[in-house]
Amino acid sequence: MNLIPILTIAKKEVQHIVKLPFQVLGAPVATTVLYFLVFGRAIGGRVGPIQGISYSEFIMPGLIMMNVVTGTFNGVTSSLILSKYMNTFNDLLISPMSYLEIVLGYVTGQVGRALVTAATIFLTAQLFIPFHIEHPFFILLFLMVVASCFALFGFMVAIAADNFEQLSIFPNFIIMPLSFLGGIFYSVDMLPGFARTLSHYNPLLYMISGMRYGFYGISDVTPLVAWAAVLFVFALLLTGAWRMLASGYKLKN
Amino acid sequence: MSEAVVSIRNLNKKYKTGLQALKDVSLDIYRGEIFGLLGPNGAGKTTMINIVAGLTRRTSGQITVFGKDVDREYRFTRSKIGLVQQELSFDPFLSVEETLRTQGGYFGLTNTGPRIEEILKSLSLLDKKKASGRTLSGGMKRRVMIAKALVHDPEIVFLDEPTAGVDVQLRENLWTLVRRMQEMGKTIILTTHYLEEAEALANRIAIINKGSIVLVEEKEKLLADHGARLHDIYRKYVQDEVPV
Repeated sequence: MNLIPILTIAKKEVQHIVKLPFQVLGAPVATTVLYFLVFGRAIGGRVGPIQGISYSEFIMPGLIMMNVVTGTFNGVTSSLILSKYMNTFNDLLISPMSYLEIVLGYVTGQVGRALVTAATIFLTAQLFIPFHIEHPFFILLFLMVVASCFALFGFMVAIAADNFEQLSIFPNFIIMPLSFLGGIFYSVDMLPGFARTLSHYNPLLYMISGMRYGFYGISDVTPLVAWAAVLFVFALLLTGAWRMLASGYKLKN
Repeated sequence: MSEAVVSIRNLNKKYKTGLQALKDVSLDIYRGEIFGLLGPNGAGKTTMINIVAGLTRRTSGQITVFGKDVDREYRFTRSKIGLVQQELSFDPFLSVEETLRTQGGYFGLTNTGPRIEEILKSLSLLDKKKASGRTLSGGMKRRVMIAKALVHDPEIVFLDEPTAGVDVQLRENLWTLVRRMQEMGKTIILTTHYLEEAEALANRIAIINKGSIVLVEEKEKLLADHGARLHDIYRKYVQDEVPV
């Protein structure tokens, strides 16, 4: 494993924060502020505390997770499909990098980007809620694995996609609904039996719950189950992305 | 005869569409030569180059670079090859310097600053070091692509129609650069539609038509034996397209 090429791809991806600050950081901050104003202040005042914390505090971990997963997915897909259009992805294919190194380069870059996004949203949230972190290392590691999952998912989608239109299906019709139904704004305990059972098939539930555990020590699922779920998804997606690239699907004739 | 740096044996490529792009191609490219690969559009020139470089999969056949198989020992073989593709490619977010540093990084290189300066100087691009790829003219972008292919100091350079669509001045500059690369000991494989370009630069010439190599010969011998211009020789082997 050669680290220099991996870090080269990662650096190029993270540089997008500097080159596109409004898109990468400005947009998530603006939507987070809106969520806090509308859901936290306007509606949250009437909802009251959930699992012992205020409604604004309750939604904060989910908002971070939602922005991390959508930002990571959009980041890797837009970068990769652009490099397919501009023929610069060929620069990687003719280099001595292994397929796994190429995949890890993109993942590392998106993890870096996700950490910056998460920190920015957390700092923005401090305008509305008191500072509280129960398990900081848990949050850090958990965020890195979840961001990796969505970077890998986005990587596969971008390789398979023929145009930007196909890419837009996933964030709008899959990731966003799963985030909303994964318990950002409510605890699954509030749901009726069938909906509660169904929620446990949603991978975003484990990601959002794990994040809430990291901040407040409360969760809809136990941290061990959350870890098992994200690690399983990570292993599945890493293998999938690696094999897809190695197969040359949509990249090599 | 010097050492063969690229050896191609019985190479076949059939696309999923059914098109047989390469038919039983066998070829040796020798160290330090400029090898001109001529042929009409769709003859198989780019397919052959892309298979050697790792962009296209072969259907059957063997390819070695310095005696090593291009699939099994790709880390070694790719580090020896620089490819200038036909299509312009650039990252709109990177400056010329960042583009070259990134390219070096893909090959595992750090501290490429001095080498990048040297390459940019030799390609008259030093003043464009900080410029974004978006702001460059077509000719400059073409030179940046050549610079990218040279960052890792490859021993073999594939130039896939490097002068297509460039003005006379730049074409002459590129010819000078190709000769200079040969003086530096590099092996050049050049595909071109311009017969005068092959005549001016190449030591050996191959003509490929409909996926088959129909002629490989030393340029001097070719011209002497046939007592004709390359244009006439080309027309003898490729009758269905009039070359430039």
